[in-house]
Amino acid sequence: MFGRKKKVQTRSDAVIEAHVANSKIVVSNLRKAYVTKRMETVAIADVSIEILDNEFVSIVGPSGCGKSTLLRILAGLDEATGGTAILDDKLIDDPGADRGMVFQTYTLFPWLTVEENIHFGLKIRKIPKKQADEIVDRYLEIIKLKPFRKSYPKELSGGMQQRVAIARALANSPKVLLMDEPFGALDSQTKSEMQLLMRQIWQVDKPTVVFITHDIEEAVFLSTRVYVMSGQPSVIKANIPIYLSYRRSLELKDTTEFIEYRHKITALLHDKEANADVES
Amino acid sequence: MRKLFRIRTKIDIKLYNALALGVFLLVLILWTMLSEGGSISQIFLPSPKSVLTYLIHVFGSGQIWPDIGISAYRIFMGFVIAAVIGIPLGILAGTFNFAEALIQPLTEFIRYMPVPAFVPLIMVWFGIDESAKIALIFLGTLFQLIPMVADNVRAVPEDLLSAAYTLGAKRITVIMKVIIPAIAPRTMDTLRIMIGWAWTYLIVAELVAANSGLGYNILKAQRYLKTDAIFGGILIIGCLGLLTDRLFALANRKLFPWAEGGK
Amino acid sequence: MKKIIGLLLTLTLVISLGGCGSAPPASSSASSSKKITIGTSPYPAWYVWYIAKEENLFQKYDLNVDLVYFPVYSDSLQAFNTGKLDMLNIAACDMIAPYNQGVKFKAVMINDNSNGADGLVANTKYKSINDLKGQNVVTEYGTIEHFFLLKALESAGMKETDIKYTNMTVNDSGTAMLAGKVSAACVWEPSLSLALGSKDNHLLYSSANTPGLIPDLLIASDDLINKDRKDVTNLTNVYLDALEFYNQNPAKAVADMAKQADVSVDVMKQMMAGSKLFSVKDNISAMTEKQDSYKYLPYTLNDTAKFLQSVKMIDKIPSKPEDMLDTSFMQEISKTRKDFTPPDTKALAQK
Repeated sequence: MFGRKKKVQTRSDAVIEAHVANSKIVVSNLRKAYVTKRMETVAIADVSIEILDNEFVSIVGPSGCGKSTLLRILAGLDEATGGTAILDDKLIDDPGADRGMVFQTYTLFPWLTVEENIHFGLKIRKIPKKQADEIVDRYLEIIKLKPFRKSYPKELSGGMQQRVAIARALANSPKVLLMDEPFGALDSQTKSEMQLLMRQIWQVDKPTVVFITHDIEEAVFLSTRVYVMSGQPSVIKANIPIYLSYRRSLELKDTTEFIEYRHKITALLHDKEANADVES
Repeated sequence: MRKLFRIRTKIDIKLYNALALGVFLLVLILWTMLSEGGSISQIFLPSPKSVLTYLIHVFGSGQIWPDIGISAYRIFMGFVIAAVIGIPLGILAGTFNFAEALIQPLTEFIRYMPVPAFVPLIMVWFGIDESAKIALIFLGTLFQLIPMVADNVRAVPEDLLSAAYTLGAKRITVIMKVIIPAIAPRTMDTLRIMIGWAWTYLIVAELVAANSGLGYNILKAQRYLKTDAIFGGILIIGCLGLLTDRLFALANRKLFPWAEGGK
Repeated sequence: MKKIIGLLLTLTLVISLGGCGSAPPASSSASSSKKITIGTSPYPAWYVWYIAKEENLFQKYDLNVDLVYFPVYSDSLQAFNTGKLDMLNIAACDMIAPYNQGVKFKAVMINDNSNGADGLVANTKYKSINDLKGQNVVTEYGTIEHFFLLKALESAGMKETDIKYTNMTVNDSGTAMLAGKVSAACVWEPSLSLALGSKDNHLLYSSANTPGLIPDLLIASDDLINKDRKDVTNLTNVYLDALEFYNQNPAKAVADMAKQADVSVDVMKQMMAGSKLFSVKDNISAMTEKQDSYKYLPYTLNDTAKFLQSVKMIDKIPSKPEDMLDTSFMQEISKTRKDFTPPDTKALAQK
């Protein structure tokens, strides 16, 4: 597990070299069960995944399979009942700035302006003003919302709010960015725009991202790897690396390779068997 | 015409205002007819004219201002003390479950005790000066305020707190920098509602033991069967209550322009 | 929908039953036609009605009477002035304002003169009325007691502005004196004895100092008098019957009254000592024999009115105070009834 060096070849033009000294996140035999009255409901039965540095990993699965719960455990907002989750050799328990998160509901602080929202984490870490201002400016530029820097969240559309939420999380330099169906509440047009933007943002710094979605197309478009979870009590069904071109535009969705990945993962999702670790 | 009865459909603002004004006028006309008609004695229903005369007299001569002043002072003091104590307690109860267990059950119990019944007790404890009236208003408002603030705190979306944690905030920061700003507009609204109650309790206090204030004025009028003064006094209090209500609503909009549902 | 209607009906029923239940306790007698409401409040001479109630004296005249008890005196004034009562026990002074306002009534009988039943009680650190300068003094605003306070102040050369006056019911004033929350209070029995029960309080001024200043009367609305003279006469007779019973059986009479006042028999005896009860002859004399002294009721009324006007409690002085009285009932009774001396409450208290 630890110290494995890996050089990954792709089928397309661009070559991705995974800079792997250690795995970033290691989840071993994670289990989450709820005890109600006399019954025990097992949400997550046994999940083991490994996420490497600079990866963009999506986790897809049927509704209610516990993928959000898994993410929340990684964030430290929820507790596992069995197994471990480790980030950079440290056990995950409490939430912290090292694991930034973007939620499905817009969680911008309504009493702060766009730029004050992005500033929030920096202020807590007592980053000096000049440096913080630079960071905020940079991210405003990346999410293309500089003219709205002094607006309040209620004046922004859903898509714009999510952009600010992403900027706020990333500006705080987390080790990992966790995203829980961030585009789920958006209309399809905005969603496509946001996917493109997200990919572009990732291509700049290549933060490590764990992304939850039930939209397979979205998962394939954004990720370097897709995990497929089964329904409750859930396990990992499959682990699919995505070897597509590095620079992605929306037209990619119409290519044969893309469609193949989409079909494959869709089939896996609907397949009743629990197959572990199918490498393509 | 059909538009009038469509659910939740707004009507022309001019029509709205005309209807509202019309109701007031109708009441005024009915009132005048009943009292001038002579069927009801002046003791029961003073005519609008006599009430107006009374109001012009007390405002013109300026004699009403000290009473308005002292009543306003009592409400302000009782209210401020209740807010200073009640808001932090409410925040604690809403934030920490153990604090809720300590604070809320007792608060809910006291909340249902009728405040006017406390008056004789307060007179024994505090005597008859300003502290007694302020104490009454304090008692009346504190135990309503605490549960309302606690509820406001609980209404803050969980995700907002989660987001703060994932940005590196620790507990104290979450309370000071997330919960408190988040509940600000709602709490301002809670205070607006409470000021209305405060007026009611003030009048009770001033009817029982006072030598100044709007309630005392009404009591004096009652003893002399001057119902025009009683009506006038009630009107003044009503208008003052409305004024404070609107002031709070305005302050809410101005101080928290970022709030949803505001301007 | 049915559930909601059912709930509303139940609620209405409960509320209206509750409302019925909270009506002041009635003291009804025999069957008879319409009910006559008499308002009374705590004061020695008015407890006599409860002798009549306990001893069933209303029965003799087949009267359907509701003795409505008001713990707070001013409330009884309110009720009568707004037409809610047929008759009322009232201090003479408090007749003047309503009379000016056009309330239609007549005084038909004098119950007593206050002879120690009203008093200015103060904390013992105030040795005289003058010591009360700038101090908190409480009493019921705009009533006989307020008037009495001003008279007490006048006797010491002071005005209301020399003290800090605050309105409080006589009942609350008594309690406030006991709790030491105010410097002085003007109250009448039973609150007077209550306040004097604490050794921190003492009497500074008493109605015994001003005999005749405070007569207490039974008044009846013009409506009642016009509708049924006989009932008014009969009721007056009942009161006198009660006084006769008091003469014959003072122990039982005091016990009856103590029961209503919720005090011990001994305290009741002391309270009654402050009330100089009137006979039929006393009544007629005070109502008809013109003289320039408090012995003549219209004189007292006029004098009182002048004082009330001077302190701005009323606007005008009635030109003919005699018009507030209807002496016909006492006149008629004097012809049909053998007069008697009412109980000497002072002597009885010494026993």
